[in-house]
Amino acid sequence: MKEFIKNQTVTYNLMSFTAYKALLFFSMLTEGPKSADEIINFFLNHPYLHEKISSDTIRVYINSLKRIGCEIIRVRGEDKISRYVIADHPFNLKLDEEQIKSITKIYRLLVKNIDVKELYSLELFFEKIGAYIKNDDFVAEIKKISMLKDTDKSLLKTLIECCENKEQIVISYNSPASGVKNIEILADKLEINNGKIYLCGVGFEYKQYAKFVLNRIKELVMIKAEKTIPEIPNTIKVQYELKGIKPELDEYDKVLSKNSDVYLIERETSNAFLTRQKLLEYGSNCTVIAPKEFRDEFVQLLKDMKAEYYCG
Amino acid sequence: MDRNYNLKYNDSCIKLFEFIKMLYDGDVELNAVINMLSEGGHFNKARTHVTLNKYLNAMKIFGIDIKKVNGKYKMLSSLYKFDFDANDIKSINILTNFLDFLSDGKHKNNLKSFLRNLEIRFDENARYLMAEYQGRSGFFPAELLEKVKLCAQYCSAKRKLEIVFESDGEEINLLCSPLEYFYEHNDVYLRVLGNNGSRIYEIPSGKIIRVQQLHSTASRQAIATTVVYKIKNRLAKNYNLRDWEVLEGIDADGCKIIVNKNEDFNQLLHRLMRYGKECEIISPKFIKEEMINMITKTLDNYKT
Repeated sequence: MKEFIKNQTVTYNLMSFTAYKALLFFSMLTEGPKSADEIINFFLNHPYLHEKISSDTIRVYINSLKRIGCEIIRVRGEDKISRYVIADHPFNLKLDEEQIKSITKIYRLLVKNIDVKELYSLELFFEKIGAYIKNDDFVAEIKKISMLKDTDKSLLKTLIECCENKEQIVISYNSPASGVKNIEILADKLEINNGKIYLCGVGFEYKQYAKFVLNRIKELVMIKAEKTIPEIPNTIKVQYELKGIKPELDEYDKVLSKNSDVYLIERETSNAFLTRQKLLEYGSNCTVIAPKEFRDEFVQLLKDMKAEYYCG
Repeated sequence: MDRNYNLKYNDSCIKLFEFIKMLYDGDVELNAVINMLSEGGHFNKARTHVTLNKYLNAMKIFGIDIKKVNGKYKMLSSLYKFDFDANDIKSINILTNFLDFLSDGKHKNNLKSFLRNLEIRFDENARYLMAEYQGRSGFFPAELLEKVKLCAQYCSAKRKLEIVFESDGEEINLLCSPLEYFYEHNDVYLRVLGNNGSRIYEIPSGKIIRVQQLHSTASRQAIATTVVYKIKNRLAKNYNLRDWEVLEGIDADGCKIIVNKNEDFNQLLHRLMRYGKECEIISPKFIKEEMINMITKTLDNYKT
């Protein structure tokens, strides 16, 4: 081997020529269809072998490959020349039922911890693996649990790019309240929440930050050349206090002060509904401080929630 | 060799690929490969070692990387390669990083084996991209790995625990049996079964104040309490069922009646709070009362 590394020449003492040729045959025929002449030329011009092989030798190697489990088929191209190709072989990556179960279970756990871009990458990766292993069950199992099973992946890819470039776009959206309509938004981000993917951005109509369920987006109608929606729409600043709990802050939250385990936070938002949801989830750990109007509405909502249990 | 050219094959070729098959299945003992090569009397046993070396050299020159580790042959690169691009390598890295956050067991082992099988099929480009990722920080917070180890140790010991943890600003002292741990929303959660077997708790590791392992054996027999709630109005149209939720029916007003099994009650209550007036707990009574308490306590924050 040292001699080979030094001189790049092979000898019968160094390696098995039969083994080496068998590997080359396998490699050639898995790459794509090869005719007898192409195979003969390959070996004749090979830097280590320079060997003229016969048609009988080709047949012997093909028989040997078949014997170890390779599926070799003959195809005839437009030039009418017959070529050999390995359609399947025993060294393919295989996944048994148990392994498929494990991978789908882990994937299910994983999607709760990754962003939409990573999710998109993983979906493409699993599709590729599915094609490599030639196992329809694997692809079907992944599809069954996939958050993207009803999603147009090319639309998703474009929306990811739109969010990265903060594009002003028009989407055709199937709203549960008002049916299909065009909505113009300044795309901000895609997020996963409670098993659904949302496109988030500032809506043109209400000039407020909103979330749109991805699977309700029928198509991307247009990417506007110029941005006309103000990046910061009409916002309100909601101040709230969190006690005895670690805040889950996003880019719209700012900690104004921290005293022991009490945080005073200001959230700048254009969507009171989404903010209300977030603050409600904190339960009694959260007190809305200001503005008065938002605080009053919040208290009224809590009273209404309580009333539902007694009068509902 | 057979005299009929249509059936003639090369025995050395068969033996070589048999050896490669063995390598794909796992590490190969020297004796196992020597025995395989000697089978059928085609090889003189005394010369089998020489033959094996020649095979190994042919494979190395071809590009199959094989190393002998602790007396076993290990295939480091495959007979053929997959065409992995940067996107695939990123996905493989996400899966590899996630391994550290998985409970020990068959699922983790199966993923490990899947990733190993992919790695041996890497081409030069994939190896280069993979090496680039290894210099970067992982996809998940490394500082949580110590907590993962602790949770793994509690689960594998299969002994009851006395856990003191913080929930909504209060210290809770809980006797419980550890079930499993999982990573979610940037934290590691310890899933435990309350001592009476009817309540599941998912405790964020960051909230655990102290843990004491008891001598008694942990129980895994859960008689889980189910929670039934109504999802109303607009939310009913958009509500996405979780894996642990079942839609029991839709009432005359279009409200969805949902049965929930095994979700941590505290997390469930906080999640349902989020839905405001559009959700109402139906049963059991004690969970309904806990919800009313949570709303009342929140309202108390505004008493002047």
